[in-house]
Amino acid sequence: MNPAAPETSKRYWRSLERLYRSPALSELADGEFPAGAAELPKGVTRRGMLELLGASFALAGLASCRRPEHEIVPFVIAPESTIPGVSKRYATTLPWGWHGHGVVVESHEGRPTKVEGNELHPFSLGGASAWMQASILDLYDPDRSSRVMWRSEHETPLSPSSWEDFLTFWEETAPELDDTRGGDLAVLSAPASSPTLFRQRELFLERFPEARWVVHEPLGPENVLEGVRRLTGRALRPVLHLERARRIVCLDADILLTEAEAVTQARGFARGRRVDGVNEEMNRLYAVESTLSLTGANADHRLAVPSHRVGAVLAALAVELEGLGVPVGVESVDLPDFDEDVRDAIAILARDLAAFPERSLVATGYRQPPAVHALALAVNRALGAIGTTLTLHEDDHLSWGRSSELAELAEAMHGGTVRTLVVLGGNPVYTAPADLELSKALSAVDNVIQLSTHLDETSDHASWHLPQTHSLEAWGDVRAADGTLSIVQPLIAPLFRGRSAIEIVASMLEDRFEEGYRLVRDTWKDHVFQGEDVEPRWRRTLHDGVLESSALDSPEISFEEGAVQRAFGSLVNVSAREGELELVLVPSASTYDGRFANNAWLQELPDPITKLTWGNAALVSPATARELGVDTGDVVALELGGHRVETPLMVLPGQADGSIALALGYGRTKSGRVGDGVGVDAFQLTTSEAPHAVMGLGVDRVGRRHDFAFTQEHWSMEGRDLVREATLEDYRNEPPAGREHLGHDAPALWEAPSLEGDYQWGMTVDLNACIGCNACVTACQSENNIPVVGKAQVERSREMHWLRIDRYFSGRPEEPRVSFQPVPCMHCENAPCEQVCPVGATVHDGEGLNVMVYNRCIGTRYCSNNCPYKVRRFNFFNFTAEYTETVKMLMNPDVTVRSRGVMEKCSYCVQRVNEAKITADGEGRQLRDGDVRAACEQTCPSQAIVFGNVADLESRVSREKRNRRNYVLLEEMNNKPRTSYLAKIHNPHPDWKSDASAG
Amino acid sequence: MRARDDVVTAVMRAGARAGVLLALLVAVGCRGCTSRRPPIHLNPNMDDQPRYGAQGPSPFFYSGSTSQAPVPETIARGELEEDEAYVTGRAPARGYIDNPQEPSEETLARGEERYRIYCSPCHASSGDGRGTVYQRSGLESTDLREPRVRDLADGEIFEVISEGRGLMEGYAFPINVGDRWAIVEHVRRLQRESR
Repeated sequence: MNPAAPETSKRYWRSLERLYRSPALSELADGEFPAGAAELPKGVTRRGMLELLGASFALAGLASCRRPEHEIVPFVIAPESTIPGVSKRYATTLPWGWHGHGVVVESHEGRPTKVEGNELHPFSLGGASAWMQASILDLYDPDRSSRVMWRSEHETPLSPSSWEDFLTFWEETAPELDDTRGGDLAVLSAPASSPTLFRQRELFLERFPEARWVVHEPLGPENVLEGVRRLTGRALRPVLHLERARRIVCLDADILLTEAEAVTQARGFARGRRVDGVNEEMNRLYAVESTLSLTGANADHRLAVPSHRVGAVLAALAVELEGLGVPVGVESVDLPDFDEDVRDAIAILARDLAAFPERSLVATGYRQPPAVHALALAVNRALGAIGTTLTLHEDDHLSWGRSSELAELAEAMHGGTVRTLVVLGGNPVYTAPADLELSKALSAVDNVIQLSTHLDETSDHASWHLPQTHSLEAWGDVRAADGTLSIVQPLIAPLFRGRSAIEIVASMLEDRFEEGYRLVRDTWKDHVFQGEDVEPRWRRTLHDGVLESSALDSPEISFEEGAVQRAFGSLVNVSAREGELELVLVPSASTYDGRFANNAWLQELPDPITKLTWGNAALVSPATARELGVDTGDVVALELGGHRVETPLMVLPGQADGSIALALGYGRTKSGRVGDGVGVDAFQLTTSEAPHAVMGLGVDRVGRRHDFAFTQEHWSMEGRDLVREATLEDYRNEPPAGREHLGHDAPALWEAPSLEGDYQWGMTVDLNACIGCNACVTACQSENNIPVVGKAQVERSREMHWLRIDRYFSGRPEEPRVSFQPVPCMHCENAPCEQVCPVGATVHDGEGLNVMVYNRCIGTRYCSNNCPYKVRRFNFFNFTAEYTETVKMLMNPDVTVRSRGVMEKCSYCVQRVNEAKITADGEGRQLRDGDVRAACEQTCPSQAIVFGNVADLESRVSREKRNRRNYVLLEEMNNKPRTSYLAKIHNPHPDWKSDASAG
Repeated sequence: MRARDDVVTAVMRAGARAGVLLALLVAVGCRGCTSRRPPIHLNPNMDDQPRYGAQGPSPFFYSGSTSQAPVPETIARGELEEDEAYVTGRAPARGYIDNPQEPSEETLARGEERYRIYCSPCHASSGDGRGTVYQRSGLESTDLREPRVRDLADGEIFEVISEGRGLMEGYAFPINVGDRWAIVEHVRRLQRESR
């Protein structure tokens, strides 16, 4: 511990072991690389050995000693505006469930290489989530299916076929279906919000009136939309506007990561937390939830309550509000039975919400039953939220997955009344509730036509498998959350001979293949533009990525008679089920519902809270773990209704007692080479009655232990005050809150670099805005060709992310406060790494960048050793040796793809700096503030990162650095980092009783 | 013995000479030798990276090139051409248009320069169609001053430059829209001056 470092009044801890100082962990945490990291891994496979020895073989061989010959293969007829080496950008949309995300995709020579948010799209505003960033890897996934496949009978294997053969089959089958008017025909579709697909559906049901069209959405908004419908009688799209909210209560709603429009919700939330003067007002976020979600981690106050009790909390809240004069419309009967602490907390919530009419919001999560959403809507209306912090947009065409319809379809299939089933995307065999036994049901169907990007679990039962296009290579359209329309335009022709859902449905109607472009164009011509001024408006929409002012109307709403009281009545009497364990199935922050299981970037992305990679774990609170006699790393069997799943377990501070959370989207068997066998399949524990949360879970230790691949305990920053925090009160009263100046005048140990460049680059990270969502990590990986290393290497602390997000806990394990800190390279002016490199592979340029020269590096790793921030990553193996052609296409051509033996680290996106300089030179001007945007900065949904020229005193980054909250890490070491942080200020309620010290 | 010593010394000297010769040979290498094979390169480092560069080969695409044409009908940022006539030379209702660019010193100079670079190899600097290509191969190009070409509308000349005609390939790729109109202007000047 450096005696000059300030005494921290809070103890930060990284995990429970760390808090309780287990001896095993000390050993683990004290070395930068855990024991054994420098040695050869045990049980090295044959392939691994060859990889290691590959270098020497290559040297020994004579034939490969020659310089490889490179061909130049230009266009024969070059397209008009393509300049080789200069990228283009196309605005498009990535569909997602009942909405979608506007993106702008960078394309090099006609190949998409990077996804960014679309600044013109109201639900992106330039930001993009980790899922949006990683979706480009799915486009290039070598495990995608590329052939139409067919099997004659259910037990035979699939054999290759062709699109023409499929069309012939359909031409023969369709007349029979016409005869029965589609009575034995069904479509099971993945969710979509596409006017074109909706139009196709209407035509389909016109031709086959008796057919069923069922949408299956495992983590869908069914309960939300149903609750709204019960109260208002209409199909309404709810949209949250957090930037207008001063007090927000989230009831089991992870609005910052997994609920509908997380990107813009994060931005709105961060806007309300901006503190850059002395008397700035801040919003306050309360979270009531069973598992520690990202929203809960960013909340000022959090109540850990089992999922089945959240409704009762809302009921109690409604009663309290009614008592304060907020006209919710409930009659207070007996209050639900809560502990005094919880009742006091709910009273505080009510007072706080009531104090900000039209500026408060109650958000409810998709897992909660419809009654919760209905009652919350009533509360919101009473608070004046509707029209300000919550808007509802009418969409008569809004379609969402209804579990009852799926159950009916499954029953019909089991009963043999469905002879032809068309599966349009999605993976129903994997994601459908286990009690429906969908795989058995599919075996009873004669013809299963499956459209899917991969040969997945559902393909085992398909008689026709049709390869599906990815949304980056197909035409389509999307309605965003408030109904805003945008077009999906392809960045590249289909890579794997696929076709899109709209093309398949159209082919079933026309008996021939129609181009997606035609279908979308016709829909827009007739239904969107109504034949007026089509061409210029179409082109403008394509160019911008969004059709202006196309949001759906927000009608006046009225509540159905007695609906509020009915919703309240069903919630108020839900008592705590003592002695029973609850299981809550949550989406994975990596694979979501399993669709990204084969996406290596996402598998290796650490879960924001648990920092777990390559797998899931049952999350248990410390108290419940003690009761059950389990600990982190134990493998337990979860038993529910006859289904049994063995899963490793992790003790998570902040998990509600009596409730166990398990992430969905793992344990796949047919996702591809990346995702197979990773984690545990939690869908086996879902039932159509209770797809999200269920009581009566049985937990038993199996006796095995499991090694997790955490990034949590690596690069541990030993007790130093890295995240500086304060409450709003302290900040206002004591000017330099959390800032002491240390060691500025210490003499430097070595010569300072000469910083004479025209620009001096620097960066700030606002910890108030950073929510820890990992979008920046994924964007950096995409932009800088960062390799994936796999679970075994992550266990050895060798993950390659240049930018990492540290997550710290403080306070009591039962009520933890969570702090996030993204750590890129500091680009220190007095860089310790530069001084120790024996070959001068890391040097300082005149603009303040610490520059890494890959081909000079000989791999001593002394620089990493000397870096106090541990931001350097070493290529222990050649992680890129087996890149397939499609993965090579994905690589950013402006960035070196590193081989083994070289050190790499964040470069402040120097390739973007240089690209901007070239553009500016061409225009004969200097760089302006905002010309260069680092990948992390550009994608951050909450705009926490600011990069720019610190020599320009008016640039955004200079203004951020003048903020009172500005500080640097390890200031006492006199490294003079160019990356600085704005201390985190939180806004606790003065009356909230809590042992968690706030600062 | 002395004789033995002499022999040994002689051998050693010979060996030393041979060694020096060998060292010289190694140092000098096979200078002046030609080989069809690429040079020996023992330390590949990251000279050949697993990524697609511009205009590189690709075994994946049918064209064999990493470069892919944009999907037809897509529109990139910055490529929203509001004025269709300006970029194609043809207005939807009216047909070919006249040169929309105002002639000026700069456009004339630019047009002449661009013409010299792109057009004169075939059409010659006078426009008579007997440029360098004709001199080398006997292949005549259109005489730009003949009546048939004089009668073409400006927009049609623009279209020919963009998309080609007959044996001529389109030059939309190397010549941007403004420069193409400048070339049209220059062609008109050649026609005027040849009367």
